[in-house]
Amino acid sequence: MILAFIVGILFALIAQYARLNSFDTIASAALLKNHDVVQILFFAIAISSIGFFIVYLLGGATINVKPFYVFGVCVGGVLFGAGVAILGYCPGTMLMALAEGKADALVGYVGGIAAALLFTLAYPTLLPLIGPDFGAINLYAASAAVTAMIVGVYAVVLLFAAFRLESKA
Amino acid sequence: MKLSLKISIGALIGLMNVAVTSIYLADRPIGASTSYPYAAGQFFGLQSSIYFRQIDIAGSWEFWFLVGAFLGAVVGALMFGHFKFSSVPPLWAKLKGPSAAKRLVWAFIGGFLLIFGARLADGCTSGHILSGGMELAVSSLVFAVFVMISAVVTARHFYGASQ
Repeated sequence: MILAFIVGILFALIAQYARLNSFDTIASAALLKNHDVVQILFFAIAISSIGFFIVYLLGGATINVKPFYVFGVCVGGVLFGAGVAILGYCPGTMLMALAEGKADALVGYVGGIAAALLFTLAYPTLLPLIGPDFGAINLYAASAAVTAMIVGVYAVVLLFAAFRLESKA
Repeated sequence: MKLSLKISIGALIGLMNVAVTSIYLADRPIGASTSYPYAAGQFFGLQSSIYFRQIDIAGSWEFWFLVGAFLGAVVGALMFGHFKFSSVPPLWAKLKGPSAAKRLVWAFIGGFLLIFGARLADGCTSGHILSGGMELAVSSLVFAVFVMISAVVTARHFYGASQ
């Protein structure tokens, strides 16, 4: 609880410094006018995928991924993407925008709570519809050497994409 | 923003994520959107529902994560001088007009879609895209692709005509 709280503070300061919690930053990314957020995400994922794999190999981390419910993940992604484009905040940065005095973030939070309430009530009905469930799978192979190559290629592709976006901004 | 700054910020977020997820700290991936049904369940007294019992532990962790994010952002807002009371972001005003009522109605709809989508998919930017992306999760990579396509298509249709 205390750890979550401290990590929250650190993430907020970084996100604010980079203006990731601003509507203008997110909406202009969705409009393909500014690639800063996407580049930062790609750099973060590329670097963390290598870091995580090393820590995992050394026994310092366990794999904990979300199950691949095909319908839930795809439809959820479509709704989430539409929500990001219209609201201009994501579930975490919304509260960081609220802290800066943004009333639209507060209303967005209320909308989010309404959705969460509806989802909780509808869950028993929705559960059979979000599958098929392919389980909590990731792209790691059985052999560490093969996994190292997969992670390496993955990170290089993300870094390459992030650098390519630089010239298009 | 300068490229070197973007690399530094990305590296900082990425390395923090590795550290927090490791068994030495949280021993779980970070996330934000499970805090919404957690807060809703506590507020509306749904603690005995099937869904609440399933997300209780993750939801409480993410709730405190967001309490930290909110308070950290209050400090940051004062530190960086970002605090400014407003309901219509500048770019929204340019694309959709200065009406606060219109912006707030759409903010509600946007927030609703955002969290309903995150709950269907079981994650959001932090839980799926950052953490799942870090662990090469199939669900998160599929989610990320759908989010990117949907955000771009929605933005084009929603703001496009007024650009």
